[in-house]
Amino acid sequence: MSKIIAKDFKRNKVKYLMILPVIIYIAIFSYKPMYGIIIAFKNYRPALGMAGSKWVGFEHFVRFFNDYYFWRILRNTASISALSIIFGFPAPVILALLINEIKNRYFKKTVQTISYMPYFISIVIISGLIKTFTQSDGLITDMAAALGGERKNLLASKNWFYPIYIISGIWQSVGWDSIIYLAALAGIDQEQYEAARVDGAGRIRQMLYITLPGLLPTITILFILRMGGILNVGFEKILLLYSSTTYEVADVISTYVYRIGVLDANFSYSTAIGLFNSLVNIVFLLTTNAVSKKINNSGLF
Amino acid sequence: MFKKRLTALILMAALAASLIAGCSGGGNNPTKGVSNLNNSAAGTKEIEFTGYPIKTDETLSIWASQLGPSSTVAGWEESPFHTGLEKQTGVYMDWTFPTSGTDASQAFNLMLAETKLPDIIWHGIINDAETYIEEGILRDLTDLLPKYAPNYWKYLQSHEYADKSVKTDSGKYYCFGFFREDRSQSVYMGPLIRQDWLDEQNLKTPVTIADWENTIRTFHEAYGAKFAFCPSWRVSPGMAGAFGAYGTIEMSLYIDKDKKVQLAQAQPEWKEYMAWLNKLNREGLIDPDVVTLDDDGLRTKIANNQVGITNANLGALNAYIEDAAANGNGANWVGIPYPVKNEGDKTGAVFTEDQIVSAVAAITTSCPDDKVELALRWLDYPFSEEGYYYWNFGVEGDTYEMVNGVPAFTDKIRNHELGMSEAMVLYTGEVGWGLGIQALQMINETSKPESKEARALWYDKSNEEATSWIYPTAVTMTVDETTESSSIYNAISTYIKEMSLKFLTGEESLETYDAFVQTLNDMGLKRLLEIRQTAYDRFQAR
Repeated sequence: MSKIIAKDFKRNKVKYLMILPVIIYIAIFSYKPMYGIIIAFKNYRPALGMAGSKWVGFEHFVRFFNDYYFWRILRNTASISALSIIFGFPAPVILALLINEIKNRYFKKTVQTISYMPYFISIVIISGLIKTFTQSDGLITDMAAALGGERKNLLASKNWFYPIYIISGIWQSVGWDSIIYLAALAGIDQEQYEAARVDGAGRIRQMLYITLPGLLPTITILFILRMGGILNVGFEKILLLYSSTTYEVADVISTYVYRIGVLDANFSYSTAIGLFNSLVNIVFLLTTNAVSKKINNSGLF
Repeated sequence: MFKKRLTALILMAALAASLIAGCSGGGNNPTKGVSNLNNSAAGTKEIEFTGYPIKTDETLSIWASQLGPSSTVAGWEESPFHTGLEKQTGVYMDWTFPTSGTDASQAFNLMLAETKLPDIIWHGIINDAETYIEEGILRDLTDLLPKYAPNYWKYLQSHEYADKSVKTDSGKYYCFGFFREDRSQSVYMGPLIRQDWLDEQNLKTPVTIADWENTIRTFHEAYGAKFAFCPSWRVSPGMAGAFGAYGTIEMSLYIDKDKKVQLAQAQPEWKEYMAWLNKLNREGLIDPDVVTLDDDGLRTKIANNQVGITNANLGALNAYIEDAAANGNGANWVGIPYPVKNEGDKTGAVFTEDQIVSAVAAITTSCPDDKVELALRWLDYPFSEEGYYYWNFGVEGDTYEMVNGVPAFTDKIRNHELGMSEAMVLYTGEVGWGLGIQALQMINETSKPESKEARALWYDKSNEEATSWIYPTAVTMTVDETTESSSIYNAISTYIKEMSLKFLTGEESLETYDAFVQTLNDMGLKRLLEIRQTAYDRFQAR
């Protein structure tokens, strides 16, 4: 065995060298911190260290499941995430398809640049803009009032929170997310389009029968990855936008962890919740992957 | 082919595994300072103390979340106060501060996880002290204080409340605190009004709740202005005192007249208070953005003439005055007394902080035995007479002069090119939370006349009950009590904040108030009050 290993090592030493930084990176930043998970089962005191703190078993998990707000924050997290996926996931695909249809090169580049520019604005500034525009005398409130809506602070209303959150999210990320689809589009064989044109297919038909199937593997992979983060919602943005009047719909697991775990320094409790979060994510990731493999024979692994 | 790939894979995994093992070895944190656990006077080497500055070559290190150097200098090495302190005490102190703008508590916990701690830590540890002493982080100074910190000891002997606050439930002394010379110094928030509008409308300063309503309405009709405030702890208790209540939007625990811990929001008086706010809101007199308003948002509204009466702190009052001067709208913001229900009443509660603060300085077990006395002497300095003057006023003849027996700041502070408040941070140590005793004279010397007047209107010495309602900062719960009560506390405080804003806006009718109280009880309010009461009783018995 060791002979084979030595031989392989000799033959592929450059490859090993190339992979080394990645292994080191993953080991340090992904595997080493995993050791810290043990504090979810302990009563962590910084002064005693991770090893020295007292074991408490599943106490923190039990406490979380019995928490008065457990169902509410779980429901909110799932709702916001589901809405983001339903409305947010197709948006960049559609944008990419539309951009792809533009024939004028300069116009195409301009649209692309403008659409992905918001991605580079800090979330703090975006939230500040949203707050200003939606307060009782803000621009968006003015528009809503002109269309017959009631003049009030929109962000403080629980009916408006999801639309504001989802739409601003799409606005900010749609351009950036479409880049990967545009790259995939460039990889589709042009001969297929020529053949389709010869057969008399119009633009719409070409899109439906060549472009979309060509994009499907990319869409699938991105969708599986997205499902793997189903319980991860934009923590900073919610934290910046929500207020106690909208806790009912906007308080999610991560903001709750922040308030209870980080502000109150309950490190063990917040680690336990974070671990629960990750477990749910993994279950979703694996399920989506399995379903995808069954349906269209392609998955992540 | 397949075999080869598999071998490579196994190799990679082995490599990764060895890496992990190598790394996590460092994660096992040895418990620090265990050998020092039984610290006592025995090991302390005496130094020859003949007053300040002390003659010594020894140096000390300190981690402090307070007294960060002015942002106008590169670090404490260039801060006149910090370097001057070395000259005054004779002790070279190596300061470490958490990076400004980061969360100090997080930095503190990270620091605790290190093997060697600084000799002195200065942070908001007053509620965890007993645990830290048990865990062998902090030294028990009970036997050493009278001997090596005579000035501090003398101060504690003559100030019962301070003494009670700085020891643990079991009577251990471990820290040096920050105390305000006069009760009024902890009162810095209250109602503010635009005097120029009052004058224009020929109104008198509103006194009763009815006056307030009338004033708000008149301002609304004449200027389109509304009543606004931040829905945070800043408005706790806010105007509640007029109704005999003790809180507004945020959960507020208070001590009632029978020394019992109570929840403000569970009292009928609070319902009456909310009904009043709700009535104002229905009339359109409260700013619709109140539910999400923060300090900056309020300031913008005030600069735009959208608010004529509010509840804010002295820092904000300064900002409003500066804004008015900058945009020339003639706004004249002044403080007014807390409202009362009927003419001649006294308000039941005004905003106040405790006389002591949670940030205290303590000596760690990492401080070697032979340096403990030096550390104690250094910490005792602010309580000595010369230290009191240095920490509050700086250096005599330089930053202050004695005029008729009282210190007065010189032009170096008064007309400093960076402004007086920056100069205070550069040359003195008690403007924020310091160590020692914050002098009333220092506050008076540095306050604008508007602030001084406002404070005088908010704080009424003869009405002691208005400030004795607060739950003392130094009440300490045991680890088990903390664990049990914090889940209840968190659930209740979230619920209260949500519901009180709904009561205010009318989204939830006050007719459901009984159901609201019932939910509070279902969440374990009784148990929470019980735990807090036990802890409070222990504090009282100290």
